[in-house]
Amino acid sequence: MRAVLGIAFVCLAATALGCNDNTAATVGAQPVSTATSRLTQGAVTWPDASKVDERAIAALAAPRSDGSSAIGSRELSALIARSPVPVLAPSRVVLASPSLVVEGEYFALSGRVDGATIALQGTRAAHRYEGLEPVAGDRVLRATKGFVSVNEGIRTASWMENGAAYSVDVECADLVNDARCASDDFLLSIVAQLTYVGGSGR
Amino acid sequence: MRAPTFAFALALAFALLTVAGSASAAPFTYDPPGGLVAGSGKGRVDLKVYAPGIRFPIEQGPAFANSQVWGHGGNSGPASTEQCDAENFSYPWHDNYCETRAYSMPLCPAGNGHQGQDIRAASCKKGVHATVAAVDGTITSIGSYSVYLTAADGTRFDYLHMQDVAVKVGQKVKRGDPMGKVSNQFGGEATTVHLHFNIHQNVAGVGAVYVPTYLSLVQSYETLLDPTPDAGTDAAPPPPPPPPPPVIQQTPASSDPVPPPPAEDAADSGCTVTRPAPAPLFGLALGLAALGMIAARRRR
Repeated sequence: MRAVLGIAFVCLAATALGCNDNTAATVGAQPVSTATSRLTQGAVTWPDASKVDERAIAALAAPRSDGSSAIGSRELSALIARSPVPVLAPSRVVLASPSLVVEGEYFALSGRVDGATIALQGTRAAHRYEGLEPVAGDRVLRATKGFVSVNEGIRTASWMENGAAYSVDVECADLVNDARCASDDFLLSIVAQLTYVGGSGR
Repeated sequence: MRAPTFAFALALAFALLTVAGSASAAPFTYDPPGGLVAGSGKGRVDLKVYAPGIRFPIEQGPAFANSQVWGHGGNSGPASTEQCDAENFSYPWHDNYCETRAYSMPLCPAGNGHQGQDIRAASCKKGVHATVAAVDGTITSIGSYSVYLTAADGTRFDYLHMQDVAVKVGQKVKRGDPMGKVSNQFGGEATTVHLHFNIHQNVAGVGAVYVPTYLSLVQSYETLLDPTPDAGTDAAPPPPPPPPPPVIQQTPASSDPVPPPPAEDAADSGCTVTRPAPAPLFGLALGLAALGMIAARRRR
């Protein structure tokens, strides 16, 4: 009997303590919008095939003087040919250890330049959110309006081109002393020198 | 026979108290989206989940989303404190998307601000707490303190300040795969030990921008804490789990505009937890059952 009484007492005490877990602490419950977006595919416009910059392609595949790896030319051609959006690449800067990823709705090209990491991405898939008003860029990038931002020292430019959304990031290994991450100049020079190197619509 | 029975009753009672106690020790609560630390800028009040169904990017809880700049040990945080202060490792979570910064952020009310969310792991030790892939995708870039994971639709998840990076550029990863360890890497400088997590997405009418991260993390964290067969596990399919209606706790720290006022004052209720816990109901049922047994015996 004592044991049963003990159990009854302690269980009821635990119930009282448990108040902390589920009673009316509810404050301002609000519905979260989970029907978040409608994924749409941009109508990609393809530059004329004559605009393909073969030198920029060759630069991605060429052996590196610093010994870093390049992308094999066959692999590079195959990847570019699969891209669902026009692939852009730097025409003057040579990326060390370049990498090109082509998946789903996007391509991504990355590599290093003297301690700075360059990451370029283009995607044709856009998320359309109800109630989210369009916002025009406040910078002119590649003859259109775009954005330039800094994220934890990483400089980012983004813009629309060919019906796709592009962005370029520049990240410095030495954030304190590398002047390329102290202003937008280097980032903007990368954006300006991007040229068309192909894609599935080529 | 009586002694063992009484011992059993004590053991059971202790177990019940332990369950009740642990459930109330660290209840998960979070401030509303857009409710930044007072004085740290104007947040975006937005209830949309921009990346539903993601895996929480730190392998294990507890974890604490809050501002590393405006928290203890941050440049704008309370004076004479350090990053390991217990308050940095406590609930409620605080949104810090759009926190004051100088550069363009088109979705922030001020037009500029912080791009993502700072998340502290269970402790301030670096190189201990593992990060994991939020989605199935491909590693598209690794910088000196960044790792970019891109999903098939082009949505990019940025992991910053890690050490012991466990992936390579071009590698395909599955949701939940190891990415690295939470640390303080920052281009030759050191920041506080935390994971800075961004979601970079192409938004129609805007372009490729950093979108609000907070509620995607809240949803994924709730799933981490309370996994179900359909959500939050590594084997779970990509479709988002049906989210429970969020219960949002307002703390007095925020002076920014926030969603509608609370329906009930939490201080009055004496209860602060926002997730239902089964222990109290179980205890109530057991208690009532025991009282029922006593009554039955007395009738005999």
